Amino acid sequence: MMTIKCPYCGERSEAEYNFGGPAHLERPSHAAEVSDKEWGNYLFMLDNVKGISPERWCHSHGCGRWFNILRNTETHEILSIYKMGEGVKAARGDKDGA
Amino acid sequence: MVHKINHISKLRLDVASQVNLEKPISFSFDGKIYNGFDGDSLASALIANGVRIVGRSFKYHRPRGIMSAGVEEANAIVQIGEEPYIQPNMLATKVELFDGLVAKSVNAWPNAGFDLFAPLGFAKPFFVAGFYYKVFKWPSWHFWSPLVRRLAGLGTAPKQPDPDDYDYHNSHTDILIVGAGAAGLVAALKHGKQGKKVLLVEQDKDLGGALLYEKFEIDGVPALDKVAEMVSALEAMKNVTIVKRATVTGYYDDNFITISERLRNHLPPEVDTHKPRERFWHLRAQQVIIATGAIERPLVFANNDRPGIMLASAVRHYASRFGIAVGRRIFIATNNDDAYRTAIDLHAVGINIVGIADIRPNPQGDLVIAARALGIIVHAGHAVINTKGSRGLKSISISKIDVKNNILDEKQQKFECDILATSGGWSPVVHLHSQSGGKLHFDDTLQAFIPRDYIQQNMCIGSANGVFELADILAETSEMTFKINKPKVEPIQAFWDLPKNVKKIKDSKRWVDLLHDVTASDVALAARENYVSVEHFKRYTTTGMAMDQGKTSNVNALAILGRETGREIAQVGTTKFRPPYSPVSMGAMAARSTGALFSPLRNLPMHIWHKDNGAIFEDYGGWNRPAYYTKSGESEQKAVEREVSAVRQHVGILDYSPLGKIMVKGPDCAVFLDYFYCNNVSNLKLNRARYGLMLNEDGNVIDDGVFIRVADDEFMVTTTSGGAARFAAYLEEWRQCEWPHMDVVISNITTGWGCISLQGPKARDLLHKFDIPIDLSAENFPHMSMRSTEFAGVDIKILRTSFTGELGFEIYMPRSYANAMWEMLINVGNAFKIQPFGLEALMVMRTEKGFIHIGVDTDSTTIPADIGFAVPARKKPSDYIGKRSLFRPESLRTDREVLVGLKVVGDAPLQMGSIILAKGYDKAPAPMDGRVTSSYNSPTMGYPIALGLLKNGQSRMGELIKIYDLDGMQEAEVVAPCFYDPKWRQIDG
Repeated sequence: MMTIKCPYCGERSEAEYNFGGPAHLERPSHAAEVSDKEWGNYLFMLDNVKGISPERWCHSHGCGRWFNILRNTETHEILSIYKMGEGVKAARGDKDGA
Repeated sequence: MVHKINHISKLRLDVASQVNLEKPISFSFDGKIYNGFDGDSLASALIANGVRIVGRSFKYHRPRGIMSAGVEEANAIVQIGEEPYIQPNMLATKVELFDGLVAKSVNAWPNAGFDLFAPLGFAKPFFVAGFYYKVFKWPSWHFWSPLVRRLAGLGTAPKQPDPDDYDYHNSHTDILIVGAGAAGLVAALKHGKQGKKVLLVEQDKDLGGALLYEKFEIDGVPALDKVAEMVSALEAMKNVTIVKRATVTGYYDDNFITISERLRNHLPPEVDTHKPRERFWHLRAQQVIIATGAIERPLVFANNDRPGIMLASAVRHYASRFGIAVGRRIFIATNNDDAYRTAIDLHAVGINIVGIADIRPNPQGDLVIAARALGIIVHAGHAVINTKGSRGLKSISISKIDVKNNILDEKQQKFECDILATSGGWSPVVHLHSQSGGKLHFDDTLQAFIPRDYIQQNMCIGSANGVFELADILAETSEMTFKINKPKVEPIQAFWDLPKNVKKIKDSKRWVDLLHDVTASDVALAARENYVSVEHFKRYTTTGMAMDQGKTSNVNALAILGRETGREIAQVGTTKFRPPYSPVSMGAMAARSTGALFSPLRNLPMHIWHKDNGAIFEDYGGWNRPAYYTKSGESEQKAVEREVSAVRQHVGILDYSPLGKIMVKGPDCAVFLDYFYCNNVSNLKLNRARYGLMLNEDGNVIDDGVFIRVADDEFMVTTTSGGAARFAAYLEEWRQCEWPHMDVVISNITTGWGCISLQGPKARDLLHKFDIPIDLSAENFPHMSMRSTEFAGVDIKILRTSFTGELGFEIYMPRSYANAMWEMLINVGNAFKIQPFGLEALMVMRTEKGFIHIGVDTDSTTIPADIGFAVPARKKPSDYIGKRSLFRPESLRTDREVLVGLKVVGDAPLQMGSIILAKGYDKAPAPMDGRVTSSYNSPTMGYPIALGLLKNGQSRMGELIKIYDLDGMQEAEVVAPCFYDPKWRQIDG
């Protein structure tokens, strides 16, 4: 069970969090105009990365805030933690997050 | 309770040991009564009583005896206690004896000594590797599985509820030290002195590890005295916590550790019942020091599973710690120096060492020289090849072996002995290191897998790290210096299986995994069938699986797999070890989360009133709600009929408090909510309400409810009672992640507010009896509107809505006022023949009216069009979650399953979930056209009614359809999904 540093509350056990799938998934802003294929890609064609992947997590049993984690899905190493709306922080050394 | 016998067995040695011969104990095994002493393990007591057969093997029911003195025991698996205290899967070697202990063998019937299933041993050809997949194919596995399960079980699960308590324990520490052997103890001293918070966990009842039985001297005193000195130093440190009888069972991410601590297993069940039986720890450690020691490997030769064949270290363990001679004539087989300690120790207490067969052609280590000096005969360059003795070892034979060229001499020498002590070298206990993500490396000098590549904050020390000599362990771990005699040790000779040049040996049964009855030929067979990847091999042969986790079998099996596939052990590799290291009780993991605390139900504000008035409660989405209220002797059906008719004719009252209630406030609240409903939200006028469906992005209906505009910038949203928390979280997720710029606040007030629903034609008349300062008339307070007002000094909201089809008012108020309001309404309502009604009556009435129940009449594929909302959902101009999906070809198909009413032919209601057969079929099996989702006897209509999802349903009105369930076939007519008052004439009362 990982320890995750919530950007608002600090370090807490993984049990306090909910995983929310990949981060930075772009919802088509003019949904009515996109093709079935584009919409299908948005809905279903997720990367399921083995390796470094940006993810959304929610501190659901804490402050209830959503944020992003850049995490290695193979080793469970957390490379970066950053707030919603901030871009991917790919820097490997930035383990403490935002 | 068993009565006492107080004689001392001939196998008890006349030496000082850790068993107290002043304190006799009686216990039973397989129904027979034996005696033992305080300090005995069940295994040591059984050995002292001359019990050689303690179990039967897993597949072939071969007689098996105790083979070890520790957690690596693969044979002596027993069941402890009687109902309701049964504990299956216990190792006799780790069970501490107490007075009155009841133990039974497993996998044998009627007992281990005389097992009626023993002839299965002759059926060996059927039970080869992968036999599950090969033998039980015809007619099908389901035909065989009951028989196999009866034959193969290891113990019986208790039938009665467990009367004991178990606990969780969450904890943190600077340093966790796993194992209190020499390495663990000195590491604890070192870190303890530095002031660190140290947790030292030992699976045994005593600290010391191998020092509990090895005849070492440290600083000129016996090792045990040195251990006692270290333990009292540790006990004096406030920052050091020692936990005994506790096993570190799992090592997870970020140094998250689970520990299974056994507080009462060593005591009679009726003692200390105020304490939990076991405690399951969740620990976070800054650093983990793995000092788990090493486990001796058995040697592989023909019939190496007979009772009396034991690990060499176990033989001296029983002699030293328990003062027991495991036999009178001991032969030793080895490929290393360490086994010579057994010869020396046992010789010292007067036991006859018949001989030592050492694979190595010319062993010259100090221990070898010492053994020879005692007159013990060493057969260098010899291997034990076979054994005899059907109910326990009687003799062994050895042959000359040329390991270099892998050739066995045909000539044999036979020796009579009752114990064969074997040592194939030592395997560091690397389980936790592997679980932590660390890698292993095969060391050719040690012939063992040792830890390498630490991934987390941990380290292995002592023999867990491949440092086997005590002098080296202490020097490596401690800053103190100790005076220890270090013998010159010669390297181990790699040796995994007998050469196959002798036919009789080639065809013999040579056990590799005693627990799972896997032989060397099974390993070879798996290799021939191309199960060469170690992960596949493990699953195919079952080697190293289940409770044992390969403690004694892994390395031998991997080496033989390597030989069969022409690879070195390092190339074969190991599987990743998985938790738990040793079995953990289910009770300990469940801890307090059992019974009523497993998933605690929430009670309603009027719970006590309901209870006092005959409510029969049921769990509806986590809420403890009245299903119906029963008057004396009334059946459920009668009660529901009475409640329905009260609502239809007079007025009914329902505790509707679990209804999800979410406030959405802020300048952007209407725009925001427009994203969540397939109906328009922003054009809703003040104080008006609208029914809406909420979708997910796939276009599927996930919830429904009424939303009400309570202010220009505020909505109240209602959800299904089970869906409130989920839907509030869903709103939050989209607000935070997708539309953070919107100025909206979401607040789930479900449990803070009570709700009382009045339903029925007399509902308005009843409210008129109260002094409520609002106009309740149908013209000025129409259906689907809300009024905020004050009542008896309390701010309340009244919503005109209906889930029954009758005139209805839902009264919302702070939860604490709900009960007073409820009692007042009932008192005044008696004049209107008011009746409280439960969920069952509500379900009947909403079905009569054709109102859907989310999750019952819909599933995870239902879109708005399927339940009659095609037009609003597609026509809504603005975007909303799931909208685009409603235009995918799948959503536009005209033959989707849609909601219909079903009017049953005959008197029996349909079973919910029964299958609607495709057109043209009149019996199953048949393709299906849909299913029945809701079904009730309708007291209002006087016939059974149902709702269902039917392919192409709108265009099949009037059609007779066939419905199948396990009770047989029924027929029903497809009708519109509204049986009661389709013209909505009742809604205004």
